[in-house]
Amino acid sequence: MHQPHTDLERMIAAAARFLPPQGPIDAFVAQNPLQGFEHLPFEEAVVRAARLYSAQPFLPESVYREELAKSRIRAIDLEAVLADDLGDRDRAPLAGGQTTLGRLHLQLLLHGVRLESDAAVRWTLTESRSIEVLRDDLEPQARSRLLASVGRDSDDASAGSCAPTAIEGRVASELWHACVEMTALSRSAVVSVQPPLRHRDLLLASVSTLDTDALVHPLLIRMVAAFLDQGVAAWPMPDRDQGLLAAVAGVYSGRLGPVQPWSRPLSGRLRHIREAFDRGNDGKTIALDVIASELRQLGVPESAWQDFIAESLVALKGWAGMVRQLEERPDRAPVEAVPARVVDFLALRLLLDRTATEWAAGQLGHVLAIDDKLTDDATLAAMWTELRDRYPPRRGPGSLARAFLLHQVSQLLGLAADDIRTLNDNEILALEHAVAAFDSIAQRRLFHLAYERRFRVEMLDALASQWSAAPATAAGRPRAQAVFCIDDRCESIRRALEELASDVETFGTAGFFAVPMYFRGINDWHAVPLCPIVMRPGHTVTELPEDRAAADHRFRQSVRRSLGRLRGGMSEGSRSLLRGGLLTSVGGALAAVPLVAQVVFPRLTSRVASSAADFARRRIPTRLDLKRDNDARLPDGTRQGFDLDEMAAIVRRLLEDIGLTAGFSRLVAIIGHGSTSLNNPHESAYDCGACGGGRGGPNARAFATMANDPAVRARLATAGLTIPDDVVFVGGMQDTCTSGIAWFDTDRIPVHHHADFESFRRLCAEAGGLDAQERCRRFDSVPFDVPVAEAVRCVEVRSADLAQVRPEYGHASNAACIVGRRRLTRGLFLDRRSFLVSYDPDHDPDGGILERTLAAVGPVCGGINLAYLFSRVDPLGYGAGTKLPHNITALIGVMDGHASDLRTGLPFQGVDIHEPLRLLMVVEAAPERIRDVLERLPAVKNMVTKRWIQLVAWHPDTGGLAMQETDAGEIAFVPYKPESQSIPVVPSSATWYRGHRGNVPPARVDAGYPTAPRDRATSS
Amino acid sequence: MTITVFPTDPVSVLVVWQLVAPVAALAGIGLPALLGRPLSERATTRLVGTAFTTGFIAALVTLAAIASQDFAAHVVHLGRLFAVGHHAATIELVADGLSVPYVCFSTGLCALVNAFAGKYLHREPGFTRFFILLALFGTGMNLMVLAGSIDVLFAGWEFLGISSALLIGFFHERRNAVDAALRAFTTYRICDVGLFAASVVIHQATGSGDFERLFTGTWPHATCLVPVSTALFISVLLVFAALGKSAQVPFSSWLPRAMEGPTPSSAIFYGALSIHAGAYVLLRCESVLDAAPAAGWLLIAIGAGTALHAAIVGSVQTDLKSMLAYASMTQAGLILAEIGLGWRVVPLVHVISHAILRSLQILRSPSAMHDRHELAAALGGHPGPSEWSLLRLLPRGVARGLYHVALERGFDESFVSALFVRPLLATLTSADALERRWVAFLGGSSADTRSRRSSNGSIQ
Repeated sequence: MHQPHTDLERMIAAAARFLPPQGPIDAFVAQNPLQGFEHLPFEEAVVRAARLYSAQPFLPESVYREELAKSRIRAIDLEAVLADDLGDRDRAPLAGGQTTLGRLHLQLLLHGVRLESDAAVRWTLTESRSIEVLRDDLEPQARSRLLASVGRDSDDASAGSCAPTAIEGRVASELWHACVEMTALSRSAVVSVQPPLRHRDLLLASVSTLDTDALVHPLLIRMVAAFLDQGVAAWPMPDRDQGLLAAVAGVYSGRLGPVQPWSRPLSGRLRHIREAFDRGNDGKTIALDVIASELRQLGVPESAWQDFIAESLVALKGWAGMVRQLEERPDRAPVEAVPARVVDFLALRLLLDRTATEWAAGQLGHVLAIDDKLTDDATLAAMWTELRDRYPPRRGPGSLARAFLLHQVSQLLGLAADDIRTLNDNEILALEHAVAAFDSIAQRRLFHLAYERRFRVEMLDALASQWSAAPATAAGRPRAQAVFCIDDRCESIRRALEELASDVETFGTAGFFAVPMYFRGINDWHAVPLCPIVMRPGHTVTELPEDRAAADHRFRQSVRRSLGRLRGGMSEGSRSLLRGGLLTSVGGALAAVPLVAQVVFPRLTSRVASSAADFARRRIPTRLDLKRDNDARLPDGTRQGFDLDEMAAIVRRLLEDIGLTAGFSRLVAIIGHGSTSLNNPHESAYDCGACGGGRGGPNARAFATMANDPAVRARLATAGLTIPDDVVFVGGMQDTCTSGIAWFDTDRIPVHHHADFESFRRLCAEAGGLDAQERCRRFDSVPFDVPVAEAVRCVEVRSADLAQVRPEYGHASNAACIVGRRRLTRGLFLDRRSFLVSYDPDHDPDGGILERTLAAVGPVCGGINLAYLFSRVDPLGYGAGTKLPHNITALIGVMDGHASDLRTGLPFQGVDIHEPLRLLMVVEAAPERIRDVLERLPAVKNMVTKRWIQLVAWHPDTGGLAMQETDAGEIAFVPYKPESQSIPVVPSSATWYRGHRGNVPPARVDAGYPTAPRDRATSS
Repeated sequence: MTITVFPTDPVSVLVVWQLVAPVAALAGIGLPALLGRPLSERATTRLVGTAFTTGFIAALVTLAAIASQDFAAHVVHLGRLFAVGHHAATIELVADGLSVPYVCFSTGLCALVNAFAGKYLHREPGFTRFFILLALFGTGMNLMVLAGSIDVLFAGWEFLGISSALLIGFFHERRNAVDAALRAFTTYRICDVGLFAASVVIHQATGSGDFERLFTGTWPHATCLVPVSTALFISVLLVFAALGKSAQVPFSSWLPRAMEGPTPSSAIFYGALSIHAGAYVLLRCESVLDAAPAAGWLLIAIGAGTALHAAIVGSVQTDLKSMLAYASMTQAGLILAEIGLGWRVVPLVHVISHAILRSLQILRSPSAMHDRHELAAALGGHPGPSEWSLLRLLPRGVARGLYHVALERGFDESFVSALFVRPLLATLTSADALERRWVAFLGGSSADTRSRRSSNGSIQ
């Protein structure tokens, strides 16, 4: 019984990699849901993953066709991606040399064909005349070639002039008869399909009403939710501290009550497990024992265990993934860590699966007449083998369906009846085979590539034209410098600032501002990590009331606590029996006031509430407990605050990263971001990805405090980085939902900087208004010509409205990431689609800065991009589906309705306007430099060479762009030739985007330039 | 069916408007949708909102009008469905101290949910469908509440049932949603038998469906006009009818599963209005209950049992909507018990108060994370489990057992399938087998051909 399970453990660990990487929803971090497939090239991975998750690899074909009709995808894009894809085979002859493979593919992509069953074709033949007319979307030369074919026979030279429809009908019918003749004799192959592994899928294929998952899942979901619950239930699960398997074995091994017919043997089986726990055996070993024994009893051969385990876990991937996340990162549990283990989950799952399968086998007995075999121990093994043998093969299309397809293809290629008849059997088969091989997935793949190509061309052309237009250096000392997060949503406010004031400079850097920390705000009950998800902070920072306000703070805290107790007691009580009766009958009607207020007057209500909250807390002046003078560790292993060396290193690192080591303005603003919305379980998905789904304000504030510290500056000066004494840093936080900026520690700004700050604050408020106006163009309910004040009101209402499911659109337009000097992109309208990372190649002699920049930016931006991409490509398979039935469960996630898998990914309301494109990452550095740097970053290199990220090098000396086109895993850059030399020039952003709801291509905005550009010749 | 002269006195017009407004909205958005040209989102919500708001105002004015006359019942006679000799089925509305306050609150709540859903369902494929169902629901609700005869009440009751079931199954592409809708619908249908039978008995006993012939006087001090035995019979049937819609034991299993539709519909139907429909019918016929004290005891037993069941089961639910569903069930049980105790105004106030509070809670349920963190911040830590400290005094084995029962929702599903589904299936299967044998016997054919014949449906 106690053989080591190292192999099994390894298999489980490997299988668990396929589970979604999403943790508890209160710190939503956008990550690639296909992490388990990152070792494969993107295009292969999506297809394999789609099979495992029963999801879609690309958008539906109809969506791409709409984009084609709108010229979002153009014929030249399709031609280009086809030429790349086919290579030498592009000119491979088909149909006896009358056409080529490339031409066939292009015609299929441009016009598409209908695949119909035999029955549908028969119906078409008898009920409609569509066989007797030519397609109306034929290209002119194909059409004239077809029509000319009749002329050849009947000497009717001017075929088109007298009776076009009659001739057309003749051509089409003759072609149809030729197609029928040519396909009638050969048979299409029967394709045998690899049968599924899980018993459930095999059973379901035999008897469509017998779904064992429908039996197992409600029960399993109840068990896991009760185990993971972070405080929804008033009565927590007994024995949770021993793990899922022990707790379930404890609760469900009783003899109480009737159970479902299928689950009768369960309590006995769980009792055995319970006894093992009672004997004091190790929990993990028990779970592994159970897994091994269940797999054997299910009759799965050991060679298939790995895949079987993966499929079993993925069948309830949201819950299984949450168990895995809480096992790996217990510190991310919202309230209390529970001893979650994937092995427990798997053991329970397989136990339930076997129990249900045995019952189903009994039910199946008289359906399949295999009950005589179901007597001995090998019952399930026999059934498994039998069902796999019987798994139905997939038949190819019938001859009518093939003729119908050939009829359409011939028309597209301009092949008339006689042309078809000249082909021999092999040529016909080869043509049919070529059409069949270019199936829906192959077509959608190419559409996707073309979709990406069009955006890439627009973007790179804009950048290329920008090179010559960008001013060499900015003139004079800037009025202010503002450092934002790299977030794509910050692009618009940065552009607005620059448009309003040509002497303001902006920078972008990962929004935790190089300050990784656990942070506990003055009103928080515990510290939360504020840094990228891959880091574990070693420092804790606490917000404290200023000494003079300490007493006041204590008083307010106590008032708040009493109010909280009252409110908690009310909401708790309203659900209980006796107190609930009293509360609801006596006080319930009072709820009419908040109900009406919140639904009908959301903004007013939030104003009142927030001024009340202001009164209750905000007016307490606070400071960050940032400085550490001892080396003691806190109970969680972190240190309280930072020492001087650490602070100096942080400040230095950030300033070097963004290339701001000289030319400081008097005021440097550090602005993090977060998002406020109501009634939104996914609220933290709109917060800062670089802060692990938290808000970056405290990091900005901490950084500003550090950079203002004279001791830190002295230390920096000795190391060669001089920050002049008249430079003041100030921290702030932008609310990306309301577009407003809140400032920190303004009372500490020196008197002689008050005027600078005041004017900059006003400027930021104005820019926030423009930002709100620009965002409003995406909202259907807001008219295009909304004035700034009204736009600000609109976004504020959205943030405060209970009924609003689209408070903001998050990263829903992200598509590109530009790492380089802002000088080169300044004045370019990028439509909030680009992450903008400041990096100065001139100050990075050895590539060290580029290395650490890419190490942070690659995973964060790539993760966000892929999370949005997959949530949009398949909103049900990878996304969280529509928000409307979402139901918060256990305070860790949402379900659809009362008992579904945990919904991971982004809700449809957050991605419905998103264009799923892989991140186009443009790095301003020489190709060789990028290659060297990536050699030191294997994870990022893997994403690049496997094409999960499209990488472009932008040479800092020549301005030449080079696209990374990988072969065989090594980085290889190919120079990019711009398609067009001109870019629209507009006076302001608003004039360019106004009147459009969808994405808008890049344009050059005059107002954004610090000085007149040198070169206007290229403007259109 | 005959329609009498349309009433012209102001109160009658107001009462009729409360009914006509949702019907007009239903037609206004339903007909264009049928013609394939659905109204824009804005027009849809405006139309439905106008209907419910004007209905609400009309109800408020009516309330003032009848309050000035000491809540004497104001009957509006609309027409007659049919008449045979002494027997007649009439269409009557009644405005009194029960129906008018009830319309005020139900129409007001519908108006609020309309305002909420207009934004919540923006760009949802089923947008128009949702508002059609909302208008249908409003029509049914007002028809049931204003009914002056058991026939009209039954019609309203059925509209309510069908619109509820369709909204549970709003996302009909998901299996769970459709299963839950079917379960609710089946439960409703089973219990509808009670209301239907009650209406037959009332017709039999009084020669009409009119409440005027069943009881007389001003609500809640009416007197029953039928003999005690008949009153008991009617009461028991009405209680049975109420069990389904009010999710009482043993018909409670549909309620937690009903939280499959969009959040606003869950709020209004299963938190606020649908779940109290049973209580309303019992309050309407309170004098009949008064005449049959045994029915009151039955009601107390069921209500208290449900409340206890739901309170225990609710305490282990780990998702917000199930927790709120059981909280609603607890209160619905208490309300029925209050009615059983012979109280009248208390349960009415309880219904209205509870419905408003619960609607707010369900509408706000997606804020749970936010609210919990606010609360934890105020308290300086997450509130631990305190409520069930008494339970933890139980011996460990007993506590585990009780927890098991609670997590399995009192084995409701097993009960329903053991008591209803499997016997029904067995009966149908044996009936099918019997028919086949009978057919084979009549046809005198061999066993091989009989299955083919029966599947063709032709006997001769």
